[in-house]
Amino acid sequence: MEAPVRGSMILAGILLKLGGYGLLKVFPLCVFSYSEIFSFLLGINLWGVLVVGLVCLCRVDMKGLIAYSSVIHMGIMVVGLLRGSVLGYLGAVLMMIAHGFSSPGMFSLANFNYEVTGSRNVCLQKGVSFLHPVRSLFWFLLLAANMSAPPSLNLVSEVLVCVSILKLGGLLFFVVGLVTFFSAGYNLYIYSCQQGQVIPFVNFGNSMSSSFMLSSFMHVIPVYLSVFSVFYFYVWRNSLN
Amino acid sequence: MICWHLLSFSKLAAIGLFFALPVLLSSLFYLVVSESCVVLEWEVFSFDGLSFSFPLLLDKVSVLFSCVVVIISFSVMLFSIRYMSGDINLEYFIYMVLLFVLSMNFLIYIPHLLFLLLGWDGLGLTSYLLVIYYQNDKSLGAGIVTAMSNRIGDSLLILAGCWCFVGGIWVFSFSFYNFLFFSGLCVFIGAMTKSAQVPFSAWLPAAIAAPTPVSSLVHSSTLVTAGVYLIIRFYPSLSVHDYFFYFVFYFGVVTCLMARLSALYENDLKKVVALSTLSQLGVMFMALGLGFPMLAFFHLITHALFKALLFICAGTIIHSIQNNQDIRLMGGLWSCMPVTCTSLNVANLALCGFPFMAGFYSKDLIVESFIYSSFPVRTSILMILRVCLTGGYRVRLSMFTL
Repeated sequence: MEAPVRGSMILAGILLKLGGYGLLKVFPLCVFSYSEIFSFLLGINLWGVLVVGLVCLCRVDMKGLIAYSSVIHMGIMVVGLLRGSVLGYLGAVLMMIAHGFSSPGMFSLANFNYEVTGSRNVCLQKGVSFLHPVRSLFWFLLLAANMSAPPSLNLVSEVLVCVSILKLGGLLFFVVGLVTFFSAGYNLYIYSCQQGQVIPFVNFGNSMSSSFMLSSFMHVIPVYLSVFSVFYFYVWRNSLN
Repeated sequence: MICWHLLSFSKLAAIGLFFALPVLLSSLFYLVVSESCVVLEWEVFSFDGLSFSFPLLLDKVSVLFSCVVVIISFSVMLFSIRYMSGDINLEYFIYMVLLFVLSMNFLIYIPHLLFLLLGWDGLGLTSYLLVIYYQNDKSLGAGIVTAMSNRIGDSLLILAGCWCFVGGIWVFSFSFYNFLFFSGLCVFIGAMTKSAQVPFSAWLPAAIAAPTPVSSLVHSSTLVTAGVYLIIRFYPSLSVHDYFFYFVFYFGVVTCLMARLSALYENDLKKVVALSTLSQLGVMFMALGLGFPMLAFFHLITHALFKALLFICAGTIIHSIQNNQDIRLMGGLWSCMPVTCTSLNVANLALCGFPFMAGFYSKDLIVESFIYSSFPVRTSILMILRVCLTGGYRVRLSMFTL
């Protein structure tokens, strides 16, 4: 989180996924997929995700908030894997892909905000969206993906994970609902703090470079268009058999 | 020769909506005459017997509702040409309104519980963006309240969609398939959040922080009626549960009474109209609780039309008296804007159910069917109180503005 923006982007996009990739590779080999300890871990994980969702609502550091939201997504990914079902596995893979696009995109946008206001504090971002409407659009699209709004890949993966843990009982199911609710909370918190009157000490001269536009665009487009990659997972799974 | 440079973006949008109308009307005519129902289904992928398919359902109810939505958004677009003319973000505003209408149409035509989210969540997010349009502290707060209340419904609908998987049927919605209890509960509470019934009703009066053209779209035909429409759609599967009718009816009555009592003491013109929307939603829920979903749909349609008129009149009045919204400072409007004042009062009369106006036919039928229903006599006291209060706050509004 204290790393420079490129470090954070690589960390959230690729490094965080290496652990998940290891789990993905190891879990199909694991013969204890339905053992008691896995259910236990699953419950702990899900409640942990809810607690982190609440922690997110109290953060004021923008990068810290995005990092905590990564923890939430990886938690949901692990829950999908621990269930040991095909749908959970598919949900976990899709969650890693979706999060791999949305989180680095948000880190780069947070860095841009830092260049404009000179602060990572969420409360000091007021009016930034008024100065740069296009950036505000990118923020909204990425945050909507992060809170699993419809056409994004995040929603598909969340629904798949949700379906896979369904048979474990009703209470866990409600926890998933609460996680969805609070994720909307912290994402709208980031977005809403950038609206309103422009604060006096922003750097008005800062304009967006074309490379920044390209980077944001390349993060937003896959999140919303790779929903269709679900087709290929079907093919991929058939090739496994 | 069309002079394209004379057409502003909002006029183009209005023209587009206007040309969508004959298409919808002719398809409605076809569906009514042939007494048929068209289902288009595209299987996205199937996975071990679990099939994700994207269905579109065209029947009398969906096409009629879509017609009304398009008519109202067309007139709202015409209204916003004048109301929003001096605004710097006009194009952004028009795009948002068009997205809003599009997501409402998704909600109307898609019967699948998960693909429905495309419209359902889209409505929540675009309404958030429209409510915070003016970017002041009040509208930012109202936006968060709106978005979070709607988000409860979103997450419940996701849960309901997942729970349907237990029944082995992912695509089920319009069948008479015995809805699981939990799934039905999720859909019901989700519909209550969208239609602002009593525990979740705080967002509706707050959402008037949006520009008035948006309020007239949101509060008449689109966002708030989405919940009622969902219950009408899922009625066959929801009504198998015994307590469904009691819950719907009593939530409707309580919402109605709460909204009317607060409308009696409210001085903000837009808020009075918003609270009357809340009470009419209560009336729709009561009609559903009495077991007449089509009656609720009839009231939804008539209410959408006169409420849009009422909001547009209120917007015109607010716009012409220098953005003042306090009704105590109005008065004598009949001499300076006779057409607006007449339309306002006609819509007002329709809202009270004055004989031979639109609201009369639907509201009278609802009260009549209540008398023939098996609800206890003590409920009728609430019913009489409700009818009297409608007259009360409507007369108050007319007195202040005339």
